[in-house]
Amino acid sequence: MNKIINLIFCYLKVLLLLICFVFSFFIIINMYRRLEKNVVDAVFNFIPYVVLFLLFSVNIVLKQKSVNENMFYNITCCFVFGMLLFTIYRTFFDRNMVALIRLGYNINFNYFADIIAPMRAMLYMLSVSNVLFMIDGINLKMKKKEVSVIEEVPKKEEKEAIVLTTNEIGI
Amino acid sequence: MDMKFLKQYIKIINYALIGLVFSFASFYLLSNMYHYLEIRKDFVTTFANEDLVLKYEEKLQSIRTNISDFDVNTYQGNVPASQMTIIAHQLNSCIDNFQNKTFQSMMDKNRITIIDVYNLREAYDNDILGDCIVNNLFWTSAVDQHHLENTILAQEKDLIQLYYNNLFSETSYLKQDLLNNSSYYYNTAIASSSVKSNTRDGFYEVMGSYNKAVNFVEYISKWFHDEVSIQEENITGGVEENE
Repeated sequence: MNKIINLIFCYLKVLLLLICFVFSFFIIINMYRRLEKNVVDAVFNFIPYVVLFLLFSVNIVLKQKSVNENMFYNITCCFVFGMLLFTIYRTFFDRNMVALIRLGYNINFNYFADIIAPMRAMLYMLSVSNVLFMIDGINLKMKKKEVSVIEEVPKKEEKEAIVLTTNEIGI
Repeated sequence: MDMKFLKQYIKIINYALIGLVFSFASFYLLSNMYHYLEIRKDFVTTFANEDLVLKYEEKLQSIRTNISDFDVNTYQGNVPASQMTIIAHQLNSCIDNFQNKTFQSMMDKNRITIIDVYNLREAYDNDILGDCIVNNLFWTSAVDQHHLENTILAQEKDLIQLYYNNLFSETSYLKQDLLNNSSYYYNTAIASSSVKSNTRDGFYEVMGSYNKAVNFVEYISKWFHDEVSIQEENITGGVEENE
């Protein structure tokens, strides 16, 4: 049961990341256009998304259990993206915020601007913890290999012993 | 042994980092939800039965009766009849401005939202301050003895100027307050007060401004009425003396 839930969260985080990225991209690009800022400067806001997406891809492709099977990490990722989606929803649809009506763009840039800095900080922190989990996983694999070598040795000796005994018997 | 220690150390840092992210996200989610609920707190009241609205309507009625006494055919006062006709017309258009669309649309409401308060404030800026006070009645601030000879209006110039200063700065605080409701950072007192149940306070504040503006127009209409009635009394008094 835990494995199934974990698997759901593992793939859900990637899906939520993509949804958050698409809407954040739309909002931030429009915000920069409205402020007549250079749109190229907005790229810095999307770097954490790209980094995190690459890390998630690596985790899934290389089947890194240390990250994919870490429930706390998966739930935290989903929680962060859920929070971001809630702010995105409010940016578009919360008509009780005066700035949404006053700006007249049907996007509350004033409100979303508050969340950009924490969003970047949280995504970078998730990326760092992902990398640390990957390092942790590499260590685990090395240990497992050592253990398997130790386990394999007696098996070979046993086989040799069996061969010897059969030779001795003269079969 | 060293690798094991390092691995454990990385694990501690890593879980602390995720815990930090989790707590950050929790804080932002909770503060967002609080803000979401708080700006939805409507003020439940019947708009048309509110004391400030009733007083406002009374004042408007009083202005109407003050103007209705004026008849250009019988008027023989100090101020030229043509000028008095223009003033009557300006006061009438002020009544229309006071009964603007936004205000009329509020009359059927039993629940006032923060957006209603914002719309009322915008209507105050555009219709009342812009159209009525500035376009129609701003000449009253520049009245002197040469224009309207020895009338009360010319003598009360300072009072009128005080009225104007008061009216123009009336809702600027509310405007800032309402715009701040799009931020859920409680780092300033203004941002904080704009989020916490601001609808009721904002409604009374903006209706107070409406009443101050209507008081001023009523003051001008009273002067207008006095000008008309004093002249009529003089005429009737003069006729009686002649008889």
